Amino acid sequence: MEVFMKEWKYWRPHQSWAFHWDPRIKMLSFLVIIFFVSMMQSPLMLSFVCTGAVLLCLSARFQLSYLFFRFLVVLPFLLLLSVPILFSNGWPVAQEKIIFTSVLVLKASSSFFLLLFLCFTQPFPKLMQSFYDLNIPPKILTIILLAAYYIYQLFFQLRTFRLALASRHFSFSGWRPSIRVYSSIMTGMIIKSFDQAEHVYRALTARGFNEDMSTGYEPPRIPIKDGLISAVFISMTLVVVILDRWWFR
Amino acid sequence: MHLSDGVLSLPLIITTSVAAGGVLWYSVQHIREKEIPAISLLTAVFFILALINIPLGPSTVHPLLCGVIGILAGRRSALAIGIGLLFHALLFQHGGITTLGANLLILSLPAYLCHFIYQWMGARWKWNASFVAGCCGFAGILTAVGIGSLLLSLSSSFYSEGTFSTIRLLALSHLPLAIIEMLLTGFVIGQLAKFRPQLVAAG
Repeated sequence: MEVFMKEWKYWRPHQSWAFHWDPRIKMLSFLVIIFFVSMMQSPLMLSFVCTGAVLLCLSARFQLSYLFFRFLVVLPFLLLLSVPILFSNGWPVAQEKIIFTSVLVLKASSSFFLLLFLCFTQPFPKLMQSFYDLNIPPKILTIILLAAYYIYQLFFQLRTFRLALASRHFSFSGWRPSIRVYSSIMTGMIIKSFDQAEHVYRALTARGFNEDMSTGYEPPRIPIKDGLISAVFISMTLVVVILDRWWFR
Repeated sequence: MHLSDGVLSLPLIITTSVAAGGVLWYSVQHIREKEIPAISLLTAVFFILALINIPLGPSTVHPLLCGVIGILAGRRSALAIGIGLLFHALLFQHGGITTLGANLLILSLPAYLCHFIYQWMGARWKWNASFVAGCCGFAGILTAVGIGSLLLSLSSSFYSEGTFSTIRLLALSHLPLAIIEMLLTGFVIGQLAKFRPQLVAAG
């Protein structure tokens, strides 16, 4: 959590070729690519895709140590899923289980690196703006934008609470008294949030709010160059999927 | 319990996405302007509070909060949870894009169940809000694990094979969380019933 807060506060997109790739077409292309990856079944082709995803991140100036550090977040979940599959019937491990587990881990890892690339190669507001062109209903779009703003606000509020508790030598644990303190913090935040929601609603209606969060933002046309880059990436993935489905079956 | 990309089979990805679309559609229906800031704030609260790790033995757990969200947001739970999950996937790569539908079902169906139990028990028998909410929190986690396990076993038989299968380990590892969530939901709703009874009124 502390790491994320730090990252949010010092959100600095990597100034690379990916930074200039239009976030709207980038988001659409990566959604399609991740969906294609989920269709694949061959460990060989998936390891090719996973290596490609890591190289893509490195080309966008992500450091290898950073990628590794971020990957540690999903690693426990992947281990929890894959280790029991491998050893559920003891030793020796059946070959089909090894294939299934490697496919699972490679798919998850590839999607992880692709998502990392998608999210951290432009400023956060630009990523949010890209939702405009995805034809999301205005009400949901407004909720997404407001929620993003509140998340930022609440992070710092929560950090203040944590600092206040730490200065009183309190540490979180799974015991009842600790949970009581934790729930008091939650209750405080919920009550404050509902009160704030009332104020926000009044402020919004006073400014002519009608479900649509008008920001005056006119989305520019997607450059042809960015469209071509997306087409190349999607075509490459499609070729890999075709090879996976019909060649390596 | 956030399923990553690649965990589910393609037919299940499509089925859960369509089902989640239906749940979201139900959640968005007849939404009023006044509700928009409140749902946004609930989404943010769900996102932030689910990030706090509670130490438990050698590991840590983070609350899922489907009970609290279900009781507070009611019909709008799926919307709040869905957007929270989208942020989890985008900002942390926690969960996934293709499994967004499955994760939404895993958390929002228990939230609806909690809402229903809380309203029904609270209105019918006027039981203590804290106790009813605690039961909801516990039931919410069990239901979430149940739905998650069902999806995994439908996806592949490997997940349910053997004595120490993935599904059994997943269920076992969530048992302490169910107890923590029960206490947490009970305390939070109990305190809200004391200070802001209109937020958690049943019936």
